[in-house]
Amino acid sequence: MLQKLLQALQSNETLSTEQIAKQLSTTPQMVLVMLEHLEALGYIHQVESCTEACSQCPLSNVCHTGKNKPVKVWQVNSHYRPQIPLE
Amino acid sequence: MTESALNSLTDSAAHPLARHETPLIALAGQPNMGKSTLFNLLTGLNQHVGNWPGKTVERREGTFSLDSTPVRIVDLPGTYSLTANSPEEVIAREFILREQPDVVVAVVSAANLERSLYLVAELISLPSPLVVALNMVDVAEHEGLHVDVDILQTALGVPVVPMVATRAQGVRELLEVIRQVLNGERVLMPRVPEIRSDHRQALQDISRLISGHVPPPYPTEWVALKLLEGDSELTKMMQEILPAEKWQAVHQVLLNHDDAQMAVASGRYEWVGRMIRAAVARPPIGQISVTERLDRWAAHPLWGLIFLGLVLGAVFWVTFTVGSPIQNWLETYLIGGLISWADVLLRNAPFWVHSLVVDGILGGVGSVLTFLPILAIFFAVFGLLEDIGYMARAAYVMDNFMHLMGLHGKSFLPLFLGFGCNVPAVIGSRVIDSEQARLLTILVTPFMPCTARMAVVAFIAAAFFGPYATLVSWGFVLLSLLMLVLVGTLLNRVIFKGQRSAFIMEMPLYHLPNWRTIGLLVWQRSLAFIQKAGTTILFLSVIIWVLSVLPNGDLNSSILARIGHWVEPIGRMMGLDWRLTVALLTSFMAKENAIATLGVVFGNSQGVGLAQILTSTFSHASALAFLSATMLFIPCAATMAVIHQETGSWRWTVLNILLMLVVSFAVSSAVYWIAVALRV
Repeated sequence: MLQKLLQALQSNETLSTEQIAKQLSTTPQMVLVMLEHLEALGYIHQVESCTEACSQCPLSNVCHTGKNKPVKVWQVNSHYRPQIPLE
Repeated sequence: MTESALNSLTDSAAHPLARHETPLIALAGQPNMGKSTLFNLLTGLNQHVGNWPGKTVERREGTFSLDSTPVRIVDLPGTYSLTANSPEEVIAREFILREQPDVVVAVVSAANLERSLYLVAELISLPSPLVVALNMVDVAEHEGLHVDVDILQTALGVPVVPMVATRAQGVRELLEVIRQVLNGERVLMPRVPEIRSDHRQALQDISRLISGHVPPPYPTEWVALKLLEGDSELTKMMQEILPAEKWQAVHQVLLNHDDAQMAVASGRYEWVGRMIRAAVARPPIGQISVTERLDRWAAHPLWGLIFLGLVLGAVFWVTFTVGSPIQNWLETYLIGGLISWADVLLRNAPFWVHSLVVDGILGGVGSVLTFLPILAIFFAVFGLLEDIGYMARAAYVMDNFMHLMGLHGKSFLPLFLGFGCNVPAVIGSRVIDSEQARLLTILVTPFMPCTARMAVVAFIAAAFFGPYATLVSWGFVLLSLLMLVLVGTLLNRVIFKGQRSAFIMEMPLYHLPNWRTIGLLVWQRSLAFIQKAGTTILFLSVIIWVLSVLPNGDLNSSILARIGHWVEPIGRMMGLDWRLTVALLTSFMAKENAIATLGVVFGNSQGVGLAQILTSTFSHASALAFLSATMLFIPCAATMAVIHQETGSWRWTVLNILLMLVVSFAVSSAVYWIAVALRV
């Protein structure tokens, strides 16, 4: 299943966890757990969505976006991409 | 379990299958699964805390009575797996393998089985009997999840006991199952996960090569699996133990299967997936299915964009239906009343005092302050959309759209922030690794319509276009987004060469809004706007007033008019006279300042509000041109400052100014002349 997830990531598209879950016939929670596993293995990395921007922003104390509800986003590590095997 | 059943536990005297004289139980589980709560429930005060030998990791051990005989229980450190990634993982697996507890209790969360079962997939492969304590069933039920315990038990082949450790529910049942396992009354037939089929031969080869060399208590096949997983501790151990030629052979198998780590983990996830599919039922109606149903539209590549357009249209409709009448009322009665009152009060005051208060402060800042209802509605509606979980979808469909246009996927994050304010959006571009992509994102960020621009549009559109204001405002937001895509695509081809990479984002579930959070958000942002009006805009209004009265108190011969006449030829090409052109120029300091400048320039001497003065002075074509220029004009000073800070270059900052100037001039001119041709 992890392998299929990596293959899905080769599409070069922007994917949601729900979309991937549908493709793999599993739950979005399962996809999240696998993404964290792939992150630990170094295949992907989590993009620091808004936190850094918010810490620098003069409007951070009145902003609602990022600070309270950061969107979790991952990206494939470019140096691993050629190693992802195709079935 | 009933009281009599509990008594029966104490009646039997011994545990025939226990390997230890005093039965030993290990509690395993991931962090925050309720393992410590269960440990405390079972041991009470009969526990002591120390450290694991040679480690700084806490060791908790205790005793409790089962069948009138003491039982030792060890709370293993919380771990996510049993690979030697951390000291905790090494401690947990070494304890289970070396001490061989009579029962290992895996504490898992029923609310998050996907996460919990990976460790179970590892524990079930070890020699010690396993019992699964399915904790937090109350949380799972609250979230609409139903775990069928019987099916899970059958699928795993080991006992599963539902419980709520925080309320001591299910503890007796767990003890009864432990007793049955210790007494051999429960036959366990664990179904262990298998490695992916294309690596089974490799596993067999390694098992064969290391067979007879693996020191006790390690099981040979488990060690072979861990070698394939690249476990550093066991690899080191086997390299030292195996004869050189055997290690060479093992090493060769490992080299030939460098993706074995993935294959082992894949096999476990397949196993976890099967368990979830078999035992977890999600509600047919409710939160999850509502999210799925809504996302069929809201997150669809095409319908999602149309949906987003409709949402933005609805935002403007609400703004004009509710906000504009209040804004008009404030302008006519509150600001108009204040101006009349100040006019009377300062009748005998020196000219400059009267003019400063009436034209400069009340005309400038007062006009801007009337935006407050419009902005409060923007804040409330965007806060609502964010709170219910829609904004992540908006960003997602925008991102897909940007991909179509060749823009980089990561750019959506900062651009998403740009809807509120361009300043954090520019700073947010730091998340982008590639220098070129980051630069591109910074350059297109000012095309995102911030709330300050939208407030100016709301004011002008309501004044000039009445019932069509929603449509006009909506059109200008779409125009901005269209220009963002066009300019982004053009720049992408020139500087970014169309690189792309996969991008995965987690969609939050839709949920009911928290009105307190939204209220707080509206309050904080409104307060920030009032502070801005009382500082930056007040200061700029006074400067504009000074320029409008010097040198002789006459506006038409003032310094401001001279500056205006100097730039008027450019403005004329967009259908703007010197006053509108100057208003546009002063919006460089803060976008709302465009209205403040018009307030200072036109004053309130005619006894009517600024909106009415503007509609009687300018044509609809000029208003449309002014709106498009406002939406696409150079970013405000704060945004320019962070663009310079983030690019570290005046060259890119100036290029951004020139780019926006050219685009706003070209589009506004086109809008004006098309409107004139169509006799709008």
